[in-house]
Amino acid sequence: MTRSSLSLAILASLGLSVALLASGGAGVPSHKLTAVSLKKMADCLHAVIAAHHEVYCRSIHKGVPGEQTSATSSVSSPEATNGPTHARVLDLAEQEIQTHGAEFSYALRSAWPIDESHGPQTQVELDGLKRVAAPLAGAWYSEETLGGRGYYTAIYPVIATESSCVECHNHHPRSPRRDYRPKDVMGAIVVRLPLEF
Amino acid sequence: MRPFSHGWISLLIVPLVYAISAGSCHPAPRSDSGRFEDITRRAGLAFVHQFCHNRIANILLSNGAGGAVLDFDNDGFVDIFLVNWGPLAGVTSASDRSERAPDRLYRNRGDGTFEDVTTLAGLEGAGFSSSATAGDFDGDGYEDLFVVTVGRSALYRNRGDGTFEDVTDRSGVGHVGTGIAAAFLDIDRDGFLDLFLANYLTFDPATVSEQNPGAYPGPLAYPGEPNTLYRNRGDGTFADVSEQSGIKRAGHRAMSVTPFDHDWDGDTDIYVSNDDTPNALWFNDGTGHFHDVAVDLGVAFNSIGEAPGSMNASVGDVNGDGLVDLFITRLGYGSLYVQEAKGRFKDRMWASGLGRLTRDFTGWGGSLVDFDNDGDLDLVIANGDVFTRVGSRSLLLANKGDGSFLDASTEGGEFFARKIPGRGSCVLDHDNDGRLDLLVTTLGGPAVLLGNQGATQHWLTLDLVGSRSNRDGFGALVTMRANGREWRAEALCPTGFLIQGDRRLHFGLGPYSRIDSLSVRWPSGRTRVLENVAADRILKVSEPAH
Repeated sequence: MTRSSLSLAILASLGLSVALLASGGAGVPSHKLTAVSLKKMADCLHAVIAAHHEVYCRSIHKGVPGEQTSATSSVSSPEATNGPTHARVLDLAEQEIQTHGAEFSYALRSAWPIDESHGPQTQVELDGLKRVAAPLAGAWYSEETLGGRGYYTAIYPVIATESSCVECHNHHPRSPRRDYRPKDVMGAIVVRLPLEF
Repeated sequence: MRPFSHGWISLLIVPLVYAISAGSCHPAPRSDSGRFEDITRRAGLAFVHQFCHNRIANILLSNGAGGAVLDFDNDGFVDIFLVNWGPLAGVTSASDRSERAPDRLYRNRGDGTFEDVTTLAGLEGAGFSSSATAGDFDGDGYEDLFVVTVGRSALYRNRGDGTFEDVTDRSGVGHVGTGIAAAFLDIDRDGFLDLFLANYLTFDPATVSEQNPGAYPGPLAYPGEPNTLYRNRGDGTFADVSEQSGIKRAGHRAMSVTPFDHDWDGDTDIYVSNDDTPNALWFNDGTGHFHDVAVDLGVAFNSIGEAPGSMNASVGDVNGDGLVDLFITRLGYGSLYVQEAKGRFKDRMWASGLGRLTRDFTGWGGSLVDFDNDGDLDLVIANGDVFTRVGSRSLLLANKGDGSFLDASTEGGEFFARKIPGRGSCVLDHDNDGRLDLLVTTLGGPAVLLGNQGATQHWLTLDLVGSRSNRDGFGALVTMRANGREWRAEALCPTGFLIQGDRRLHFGLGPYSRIDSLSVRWPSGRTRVLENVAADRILKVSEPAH
């Protein structure tokens, strides 16, 4: 880990939302932010992702979708009576961001995924899904190393806020769990910030 | 997908098939120091990569250099060509006044040792070279070399008398840019090898890291450089068809190129590993026109949704289902893309155990290799730090037979406990004993040749010779059956990260000493079927006349 990313990580681990304060000169501290902590950045990214996710579920996609498995079929499949699922939209948006070059990533995860690729893919994801599954547990923050690269990893619970969430997951033919109730934690959004490059 | 419906089938064994080496089917181990023994010094390889700086001061200094394995003198033993860096303004240290150390061509004497024939061959080279690819572009029966350089890359024609001539200008392949890798392939199956040049990024030494003053900027700080595709006209010259073929795309930062036929439809597709941008799988429509299907097929990103720095793709069937899979080394989470029935891939990095096994290492040169000849593809990965020249352990990972892996580094021998700044890795059989050896390059250090002394099971190696198809047989599809088991593999230009390996097609056969049937489908559409083939030898298989 490089020195400044290490300092950001330490600040993040302390839960500080303001990482650095610039000196205003003559020993007077300035109140202007000059950097953002990793936790703050992850929380901001999550806020945007979760808001889109929520609005999509509430306003656009209230019904039970058809089965979709690929980028192409999700858009055009006659089975997709209500358009692509929120999970698919999240994936596609994330891929679009990566295509333009991104120094963060995010993913939808569940211990009971309808799409296998949404299952946990690292030990921290596995641990995080358990941590955020508890009622009112909130987000969980950790660091991990994957392929020699350090990451600040934030895991936020996804809660069944709409009846359509429960309906879909309880009735989808590939759903491995069918006893969801409203306000259950159904999975998580994982936000990752690499600590190098 | 285009069905393979044309072609002739012949049932001939001789004279178009030659047994090169009978060897012993159960060669005795050479020592008890581990499966792989560092034989670099004994073999006479004295190559040291010239670093030209005291630290990794910028992104170009992090990548290293490689070369190519080729049999340039057609004596049946593979030779080794290694390229070097040299002082480069704005990249290497301005205070470094050292002269450029030459590229090196080591001729295999056939007795386990090599001799340096660089000067005689005229292959000293120049500039800041990254890698090389070997192929017989003019079909004269001798392997030629294309050397990829940050600056001007060069094509060397093998005269067949132990010397090479620089034909870059005459052939029209003297691209100037940030070249990092290349591969020969026949995009249109006309029998002439075309050339794909992977370009990295447009480096500007004035660029600084916005987030991290003092550290060198990452790849996204620089504009990507489009790749170049040259079509071989068949007269010794090439045409730049990057635009018309569809592969020219801005914004990507290639690290390596891997030609392979992902759907076995008979034409060669192209996988490009990119740095911090999604990887591309260029689907060949059969006429040499391409479009990128990586996102749709699930091989653009890793399983956590990232497009981190990909180094290289290694190709092979890891789970024995007859479909070709890909292993990607990265700075960041790697990928094991396992192909499923509909041509899509699922990333099994976590499920295969590779996520845990590679967690602490930045992988550069990853090679699928059946190191124990048990019939499944294992993995060797040369690891190294991206930011410092501190060494890392390399990994030897054994396939359990189902596409999941366990760490076999301990049994691999002393080399796998050694910390090196690993970069390129490739597979070769330097002594034709059927036990696959390894060649690893390092950043600012020696190249290492590892002799395999542990594989005791049966094997078969195919040395394909095309006639109507390209002479190297690149793109030929091989299906082999023994005792109810089937293997499928493609003869491809065996590019690794920065270094190309032994082009001969090797199969570990486990307990089977005889092949029931062996089918080779050539890029021309012609097919040769051999039956009842004895194992434990190198078979030269020529393309049938009809």
